[in-house]
Amino acid sequence: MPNLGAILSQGASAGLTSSLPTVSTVAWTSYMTGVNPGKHGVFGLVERHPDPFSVIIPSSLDIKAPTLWEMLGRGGVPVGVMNVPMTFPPKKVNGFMVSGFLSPDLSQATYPVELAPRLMEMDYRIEADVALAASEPDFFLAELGEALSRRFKSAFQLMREGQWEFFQLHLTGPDHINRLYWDAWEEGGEKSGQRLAEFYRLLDGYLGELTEQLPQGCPLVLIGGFGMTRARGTVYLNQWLESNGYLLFGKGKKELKNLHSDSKAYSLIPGRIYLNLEGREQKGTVAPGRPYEDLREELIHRIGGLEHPETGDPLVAKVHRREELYSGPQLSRAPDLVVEPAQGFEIKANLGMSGLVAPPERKGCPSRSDALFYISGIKEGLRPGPHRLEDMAPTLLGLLGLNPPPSLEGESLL
Amino acid sequence: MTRPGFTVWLTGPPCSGKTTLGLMLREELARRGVGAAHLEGSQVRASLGPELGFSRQDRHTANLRAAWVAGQLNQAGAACVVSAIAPFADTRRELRAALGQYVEVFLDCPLEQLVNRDRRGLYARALAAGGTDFTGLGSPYEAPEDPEMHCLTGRETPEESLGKILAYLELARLVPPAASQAAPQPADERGGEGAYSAEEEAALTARLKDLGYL
Repeated sequence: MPNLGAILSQGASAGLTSSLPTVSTVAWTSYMTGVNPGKHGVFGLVERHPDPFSVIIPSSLDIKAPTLWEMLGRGGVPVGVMNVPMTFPPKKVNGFMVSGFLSPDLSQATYPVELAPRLMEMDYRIEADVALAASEPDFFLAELGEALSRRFKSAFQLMREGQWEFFQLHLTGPDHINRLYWDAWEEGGEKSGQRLAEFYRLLDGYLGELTEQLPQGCPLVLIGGFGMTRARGTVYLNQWLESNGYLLFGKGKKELKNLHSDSKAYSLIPGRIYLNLEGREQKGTVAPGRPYEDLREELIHRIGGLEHPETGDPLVAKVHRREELYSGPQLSRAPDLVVEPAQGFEIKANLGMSGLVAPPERKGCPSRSDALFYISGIKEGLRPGPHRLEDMAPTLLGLLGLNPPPSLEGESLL
Repeated sequence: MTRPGFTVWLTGPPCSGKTTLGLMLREELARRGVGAAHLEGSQVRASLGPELGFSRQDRHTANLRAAWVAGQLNQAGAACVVSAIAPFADTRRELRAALGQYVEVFLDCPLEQLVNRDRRGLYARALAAGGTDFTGLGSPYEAPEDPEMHCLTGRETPEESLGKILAYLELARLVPPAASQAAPQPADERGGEGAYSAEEEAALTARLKDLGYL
């Protein structure tokens, strides 16, 4: 990727620690609010309402803290925001916004609404068609490339036409393709290697064009919300809870809605454990106080020691109590325990699985420790680490001459 | 589900389409089960401010009186559509502050077209009289800089402008989508507060599974 190489040689970069759980909804909400999930209120790809029990997909309406673009707008900075996860439904900004990942359709995904027909004229797509991602890889690759091209071309046009001082373009293609073909980085499988190379060649071409399109003196910032690593296996936590007597179901369908009142705990993806707490859960029977703490202690000990049944490799890096990870007014909505997987393992919550661990469903999986920040025009002088995703909002506010509000938790890298 | 009351204020110079659009919007809201009143600027003046003239202060007062009525309706849970010029930015700032849920819609149309479409002869009479008090001629219309919705009524049909306003109101979850009228969805799992319909949620869940995320 010669263009990316040239960009990186002209600036400074630093590693960041991503959110836990390491999924795009949590990571990008932590990025855009500069606070932890205990304050912004997004804890996973799905959220649950305990009583009556239901599972929903969170949206921008669930974010309980001001976002970067709201803070920029209040400071008089015009913004353009494209395709960032967790921005649907789009909110009013000082500029324009195109919602991204998990937007139902483009007609509902823009602020102002009249931007939608213009994007349709540009053939903009929110997402590639992912239905055939696993079964038709060549088709999917073509889809990803097409979506990437349209995204960049639309962004270039809006950059030329719009009034902005902050413009963010989010790319989801690398996440999708890395999950599918990560093995090609390490093993160079002929077919998948070609696919990976083809996608990144296309991306590199657009990065080159991006540097030409930027106004004179405009800094370029690249942020990776989390890293990727080789997937080693999928861990089914509810399977473990069920087979060890912590999770029971009533008569009928095996689903969390049908939890038996004797249950002690259940899990939601990825690695979030909720105790069946009396007074909170629909059929809660675990008493608060000592019984709750004793059960958490027991689960921390037992789940923390889980090993791969065949290789003996540890499956879990650490089990965290919620208050060890999060703080803020949304803490009561957080899972009681958060299981941080060992590198390369993904923790899922599927029910009815036959074993604790299965071979990975995809070749790559998220890695918390290697999110990334890069800024052009500065060779050195970044604040020494460790750095985390919450540092991005104050960094970008500072870059645009605004003082970060004291409620932000991160610290500028500049 | 109880939806909050809100006010849509259609602002724009004379003949920009405020009353036409206001009546259309009220009808469509009623079709969707949203009780709404329509306040038309000159009628409000006739009832609530017959003593008021067209000085800056009097125009300001007339608009605030209309806003008071709208606010009362909103507090009772009803929507209110106001078709009134509200030419001054300061006044509109006060309207926004006074009304909890205020949706400003700017009806924007070039002067030449306003004059051409003026079937009541307002512009012709004002021009003949020197136009000193007439908004857009002798009296300024300060175009909104940041309205919730900007309708180019010189180019758009009233139906197109209405569609844009409704799209905004749906997005802000102030009115239910038209489709949910035809085929009511079961109450979603969030007590009606969610961003996604049940169908959208099912489609997104499938997408997450296709990507291997779930």
